[in-house]
Amino acid sequence: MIPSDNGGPAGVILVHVDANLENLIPRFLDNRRDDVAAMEQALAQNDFETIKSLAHGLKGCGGGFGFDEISRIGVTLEQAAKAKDRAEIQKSLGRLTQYLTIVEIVYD
Amino acid sequence: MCSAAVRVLLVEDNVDNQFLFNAFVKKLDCKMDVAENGAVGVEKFKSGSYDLVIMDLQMPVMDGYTATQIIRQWEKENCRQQTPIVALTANAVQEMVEKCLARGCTAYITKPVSRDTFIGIITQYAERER
Repeated sequence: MIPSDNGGPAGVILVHVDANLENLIPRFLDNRRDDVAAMEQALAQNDFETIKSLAHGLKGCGGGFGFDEISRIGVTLEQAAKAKDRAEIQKSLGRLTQYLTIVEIVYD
Repeated sequence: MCSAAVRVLLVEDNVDNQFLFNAFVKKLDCKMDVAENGAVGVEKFKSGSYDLVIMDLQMPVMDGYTATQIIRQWEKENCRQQTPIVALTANAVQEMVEKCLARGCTAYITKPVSRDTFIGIITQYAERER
């Protein structure tokens, strides 16, 4: 588990999100889970272009919603896809999956 | 601040960002049309009337560089004043910045985009045109 570094309970990542975006967040996070599944499938097929494209999308949208970590993972994934670095792609997909599992949102 | 008559054309293929940017302007009573790629953006631009275009650069079908170039050519051929086009890019490397400005973009902002940055762009460029 990732230890909390933001004042939340251990094993939880608290993210503060603008309350005006609350109705968009469930769909946004569902779409990121779909991204993980699509990238895992693409990796199995050595389709690095699809991974690069999806990673580019992660990079460009995560932080706008308040999820800076998703943008950071997108940066790493995009670079790994360009380098066709399977190990780094798998590691980053694991990091994203874990993040999506333990993230908790505070609307304010 | 953005007022009722400000018309913005958002050309962006990422659905999450389309929803996000619409949420950013929701309370500002700003009319924002959305095009999902450069080709649709060009057609909407020609048939509409906008104070500002916010243009993603990497899109399927037609990218933002090409769409911007076509819009600038169309404005020239039709003796129109240039509408500000602000590029959206997740890769703010010097080469891309120079390329987007060379194709006719007025300015660029780097994704991910915060609410303050988005509203700031509308205030700075769209309101200046009115």
